[in-house]
Amino acid sequence: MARILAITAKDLKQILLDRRSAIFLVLMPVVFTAFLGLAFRWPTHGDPRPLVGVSDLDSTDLSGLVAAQLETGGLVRVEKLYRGAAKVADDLVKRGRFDLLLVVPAGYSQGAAAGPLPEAVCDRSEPQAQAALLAVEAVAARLALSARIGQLVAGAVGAKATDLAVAAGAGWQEPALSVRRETFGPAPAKRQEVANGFEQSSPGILVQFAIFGVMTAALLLVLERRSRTLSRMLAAPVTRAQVISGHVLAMFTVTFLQGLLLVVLGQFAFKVDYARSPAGVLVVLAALSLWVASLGLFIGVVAKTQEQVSMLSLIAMFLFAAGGGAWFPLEITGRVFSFIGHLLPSAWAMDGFQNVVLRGLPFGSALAPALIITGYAALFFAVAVWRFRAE
Amino acid sequence: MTEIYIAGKDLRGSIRSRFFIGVAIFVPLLVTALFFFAFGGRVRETGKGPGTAPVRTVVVNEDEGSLRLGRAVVNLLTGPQLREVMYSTEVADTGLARFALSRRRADVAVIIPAGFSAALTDSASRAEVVLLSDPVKTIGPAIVQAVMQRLLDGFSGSKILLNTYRSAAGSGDKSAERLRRTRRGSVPASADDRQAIARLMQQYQVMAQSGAASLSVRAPGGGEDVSAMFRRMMASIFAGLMVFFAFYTGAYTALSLVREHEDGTLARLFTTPVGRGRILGGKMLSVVATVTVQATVLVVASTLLFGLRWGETGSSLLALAGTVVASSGFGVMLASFIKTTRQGGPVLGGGLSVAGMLGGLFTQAVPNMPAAFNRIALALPQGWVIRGWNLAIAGRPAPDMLLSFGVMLAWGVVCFAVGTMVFRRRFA
Repeated sequence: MARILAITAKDLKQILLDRRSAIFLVLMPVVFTAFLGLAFRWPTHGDPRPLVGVSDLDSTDLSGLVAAQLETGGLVRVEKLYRGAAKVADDLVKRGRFDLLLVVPAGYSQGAAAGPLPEAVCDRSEPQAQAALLAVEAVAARLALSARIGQLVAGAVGAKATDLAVAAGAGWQEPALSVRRETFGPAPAKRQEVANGFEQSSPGILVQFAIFGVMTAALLLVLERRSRTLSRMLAAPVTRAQVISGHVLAMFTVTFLQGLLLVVLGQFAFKVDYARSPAGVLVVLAALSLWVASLGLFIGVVAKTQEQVSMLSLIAMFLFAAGGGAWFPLEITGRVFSFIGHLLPSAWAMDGFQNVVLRGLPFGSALAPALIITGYAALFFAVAVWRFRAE
Repeated sequence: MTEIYIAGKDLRGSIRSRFFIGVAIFVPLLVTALFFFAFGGRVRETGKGPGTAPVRTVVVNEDEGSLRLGRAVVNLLTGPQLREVMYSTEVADTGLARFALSRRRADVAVIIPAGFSAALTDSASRAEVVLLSDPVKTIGPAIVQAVMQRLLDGFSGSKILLNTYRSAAGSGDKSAERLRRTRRGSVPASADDRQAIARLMQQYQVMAQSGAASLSVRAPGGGEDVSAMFRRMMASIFAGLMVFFAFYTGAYTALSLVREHEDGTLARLFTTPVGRGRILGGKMLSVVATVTVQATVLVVASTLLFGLRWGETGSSLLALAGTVVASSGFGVMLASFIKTTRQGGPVLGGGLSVAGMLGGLFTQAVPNMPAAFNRIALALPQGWVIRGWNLAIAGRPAPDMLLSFGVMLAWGVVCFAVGTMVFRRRFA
């Protein structure tokens, strides 16, 4: 045990005394976390809802309900525009003046059931435009139903269809059936009103830079091999298992300490509620560190030069970070990608952290991800040891 | 000629280096492939965009009404019509639904309340369907909410139809009492009334199920299909990666001077009859040549592999030229301040990563970036380079690119001048 600890201490000393470690292990993850967290949720005092411009070319009671119902729905901000705005709709949307511009055409009320449709101009690749479109589609569908109801009832009682359509439209103020969305999970003790952007970026950056940090430790192994230090070590009264264990323990310690620093920073500087279940966070962090250490051992054994270590670490970081949902949630990806992504240990690490931070689940929810990650650690370790022995 | 020979030799060395091919070519293509694969690859022409996995939903029916409308909703949600969008299963009660959410077996739980059917038959009643969702998920719950709202509006519409008919049919007797009783639904219906209502409901059901469109949607500027929008988004993401790795290659190639100085080969070169100025010139030229080859290969490869479009030829050539000049010049300047190759790691890896992040290279896919970040980006050459590419990808003509190109050129020339001056002094 003393020999293992001696090798570990040697590695740690080399890593921690190197100024580059401070940059890669500490400074870069902190800067990236802060930047991305602010980018996703820059504090604003304005209304974050999408802005919809409405140009009403019909100017009737029924067409007037379009803007009115969008406003009462509360999902979007509405600005009523002059008639001429319809001609410059494309320009207004392209310039970003509006997230969506809705043009209610002339004749809408007269033939609302089967006449000209309102036209929504928006860039559907923009999330704000997508949110605005959902709200506008709901209102347009309701008023189309109202118009048809007006026609049906007019046919039965002989009254004016447009007046009946307006009366029906007013019925949507308090519909018989409605939907309310709630977030599942215990009410967070210190949760902010507006979602904290750091709750997304902090765990993601933690996982990404844990993987990237493997480069620092793997480099030591490569340098030892190239300088023949490793051969001399093996000639000493120390077994291969002790050498491997010493290196792995050093890599584990570095990754764990880095992760701990980012957790503490996230908790106190960025208000990410890791303290909801400290034991859960530590268990996931320990498992992640173990896997990353075995990955580092694997890279250190496979790579022959420093450049290869850099390249392999970079590829590993991209693959596991992007594939595991550290960059973007897997929910928004395709089915196959989402399925494959969830097979990766990084995805389980993200799950573990999000169970605590976002879902507010207790310690038990962190155990399953931690066990799975540990399984991956065992796999990578076994392959690395086999390769080490072969060499 | 000597400069070209030196540049050619260094370029051949770079192209033969597995590290260069790996980092400069393979990694950006790999990351783009990941994004491409993640967000749909070859977009199916469904008009709905890249396919996403169906939302896993559990449904609880607490409705006891005689109309059994809750059961009808459950059958719709669990039926095949919505399978592409939602994968729904029924569970017995809310406790099981919450359990499924806590175990991550479902992303959304739909709770149909007890008075669901009654809300449609009793004019004074209302009912609220509750959606419980995983706080990590945003898109899935929004989809389910939109689907449920449409479904429920169809039912609510029948009640509005009934109320509208009653108000209109009873409008001959405009007494306030009759109107109040009409709204409460307590005006007794005659046989004719009941027949008319039954007929109207039947017509309404046919109409509601017809699925006629109620809104037309188009993109600004003539309409871009979903496939083109997706490729435009991918092109922006790839441009960010390409610019980052172009700057990295520029600095890494320029660092060869430091490497050769450490290895002693530079000193040997300086003993040859070729002037130091020409040797340094050749090295600078190799930086330009290497970045040019890299950027060109990446643009061509991305077009062939992923079908990305880079806008008008003139615009994309200007963007490419600006990228080469800015990244080469910046790389030379950066390398001139590096004393040893050991320093190169943190400066190239760390410094360029932070500069790339501040320049907006890694946040191309982030919508509505704060204005402050966009201003910071323009204080760096990376910010102007990616701005140029974004203009080209958006289809802007070459004259619109001239400002960005001019700034890129200025950055490149100034950085080259500074870097060359520092190198000359160092190796004087």
